Amino acid sequence: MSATAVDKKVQSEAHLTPPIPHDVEHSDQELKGNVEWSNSTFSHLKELINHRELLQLVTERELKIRYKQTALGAVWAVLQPLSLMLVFGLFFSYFAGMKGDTGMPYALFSYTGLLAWTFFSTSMSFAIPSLITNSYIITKIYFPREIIPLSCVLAAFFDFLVASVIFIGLLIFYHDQVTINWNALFVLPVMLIQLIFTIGMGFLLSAFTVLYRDVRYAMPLVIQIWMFATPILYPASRVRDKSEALYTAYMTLNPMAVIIDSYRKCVVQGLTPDLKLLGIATAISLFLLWGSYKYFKHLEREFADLV
Amino acid sequence: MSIVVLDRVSKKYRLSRLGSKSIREELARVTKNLLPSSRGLAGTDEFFALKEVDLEIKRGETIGFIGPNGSGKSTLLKLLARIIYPSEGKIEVNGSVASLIEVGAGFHPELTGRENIYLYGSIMGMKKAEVAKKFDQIVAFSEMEKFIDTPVKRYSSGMYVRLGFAVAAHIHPSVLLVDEVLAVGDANFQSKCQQRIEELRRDGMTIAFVSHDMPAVERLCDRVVFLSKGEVRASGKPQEVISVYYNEVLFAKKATAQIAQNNTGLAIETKTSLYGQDAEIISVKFHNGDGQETDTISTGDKLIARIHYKTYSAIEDPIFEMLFYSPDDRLYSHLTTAINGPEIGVLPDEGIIEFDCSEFGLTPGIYKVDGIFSKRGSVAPYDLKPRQYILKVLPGKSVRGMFYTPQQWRMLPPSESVNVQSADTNFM
Repeated sequence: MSATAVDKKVQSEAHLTPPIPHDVEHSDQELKGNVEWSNSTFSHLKELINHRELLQLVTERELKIRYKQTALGAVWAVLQPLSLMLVFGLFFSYFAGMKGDTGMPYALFSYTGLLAWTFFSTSMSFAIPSLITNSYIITKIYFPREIIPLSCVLAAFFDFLVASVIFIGLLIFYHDQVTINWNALFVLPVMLIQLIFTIGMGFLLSAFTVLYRDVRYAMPLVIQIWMFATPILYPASRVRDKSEALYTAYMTLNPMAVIIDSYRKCVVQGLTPDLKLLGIATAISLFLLWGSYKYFKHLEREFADLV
Repeated sequence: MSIVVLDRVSKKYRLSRLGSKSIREELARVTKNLLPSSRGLAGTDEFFALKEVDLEIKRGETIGFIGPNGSGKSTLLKLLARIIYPSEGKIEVNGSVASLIEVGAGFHPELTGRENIYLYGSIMGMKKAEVAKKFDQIVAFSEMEKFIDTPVKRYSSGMYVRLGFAVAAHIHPSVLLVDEVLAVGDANFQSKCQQRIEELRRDGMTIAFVSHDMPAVERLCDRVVFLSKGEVRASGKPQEVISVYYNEVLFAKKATAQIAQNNTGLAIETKTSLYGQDAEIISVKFHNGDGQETDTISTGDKLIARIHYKTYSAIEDPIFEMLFYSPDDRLYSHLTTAINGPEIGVLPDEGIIEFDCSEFGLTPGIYKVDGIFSKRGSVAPYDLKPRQYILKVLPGKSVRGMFYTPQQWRMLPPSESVNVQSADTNFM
């Protein structure tokens, strides 16, 4: 038999082998879902809960990009409040002579405020442009859009927890100057109130940024001013010293002031926070969340046209 | 059962409001509206991307949307995918919708192909485990095994489309929306996509797609909707609707004039030459089966083509020819007296040569026609009319492939089949 004959035989055998079956699963279940523009907050929440895995994935993605792709990784979460604490500590405590009325070491005092504030300001700086930076996906496929700003806040919350390690370190370092008791458990509801307030602001401002790009440029300045209008580097009692009326306005209109004041009272000083003020802050936060969510879902319909 | 219902759906854009504004512009607008003089202008910059569209898509139906650019096809798909919201009217979709709009499925450029598959799955409301089950199938279909752990921003557009289609076509949504992906990717992948669409169709999935590829639309769709300026112009059987589309859009006077105009270069060149001195082509005319003069026939119809000539000197053994070119100047067909039939011999001073094509085989489209009058064996023709005539072909007898082949078929009676077989064996 010649070589070509062998080749031919091999070829004909190759033709005889049955074709690889196409693996189409005919029993495949159709994906469920219902496309309907609804106005009810209840159905919006139901849809959001159905997409909880997506929220988890997007939040993880947000963190992964920040923690894995940067050289310092998790250090960034800690670095911001820590460096601010050192700088402000140097200025306010050493040069300006801020002492005495804080009721605790200034480093601990300022770090508590900066830690909580950093969670808020980081959330805002990621949430505000989030809908615009994610336009590539908003214009291609539907999903509940609130997942985008929500994931920014949750990622910042994770950073907040990471940076809390330093806070615990400071508590241990200054253990003879702090009082830890059952009042420390107030930290959980206070954290929840801050989370509610931050998510509410995130919905409101991210949606607003889609309508008016100015928001994106105006907000860093607003946040900066807001920071100085919050008892982060100075105690709230300083305001009270000036005028009782001003103090009441200051604490009722700015939930962040109450939140930060409460963190210090319950965790560091072992005191019960001012429940009346905390109640007002809770009411404001809940109202903000409800209102901004409705506003967000109303504007959501136009996002793809505008981003 | 209807899976999608559109009830008088309109999508309106305000041209001046496309994209977001700064607060300064908004203030300017508000103050301007307060002035009585400018108030009347408010409504003029409205633009309807879609206007009062009523549509029902039945479960398991494959529906194609055709129309010129800017007719609202993509807007319609985006509305169905719930990416944009209708300005007026109501849309109901009873099930999940997967969409491939403008090439991408909505991938994150920083994430890898693998991560994007999971992201897409969870956007569609799937659990991680469900995506994992389909993962290998998706990757195998996309032929992206090598690059699945590369961030998609490094993908070529072809790779992007392949992965996008693979994901959307394997997660079994109730409705699959496909926008022009068939036009991207190489021929091999295109045919794979079409094959997959046919499989999904057989599985009973509802598919809606937008395409400019008329043969694909005709073959894949149960129903075709022709959109024009945001309104439904025609809806129904693919062949009929595509005919309307060809007539209105492709064969529109402007389009035809444009195609005809493309010849000017050639035409001027020939005018200055010596063509037409000894003999001339007066006209080329087309007639349909009923003998009426026309410039439009359907694939597989009878076509009569006539060349009217005049001679100014004695001419012997001439050849008449007609060449059919597509708008992109590719030669598609050729009619000639050179090979078919007897020699013409000595030619009268004036006359008409008629070609009779009992079943004309060109596929739908618009063709530019050359008329040629020459001497057998000579390089320089007596007269040449390059791309001077236009013939439009509508969908007629079904065509899959490059051209229609005239055909008859019959069923052989059983006894005859046996005879044929035995004849075969005898021959061995």
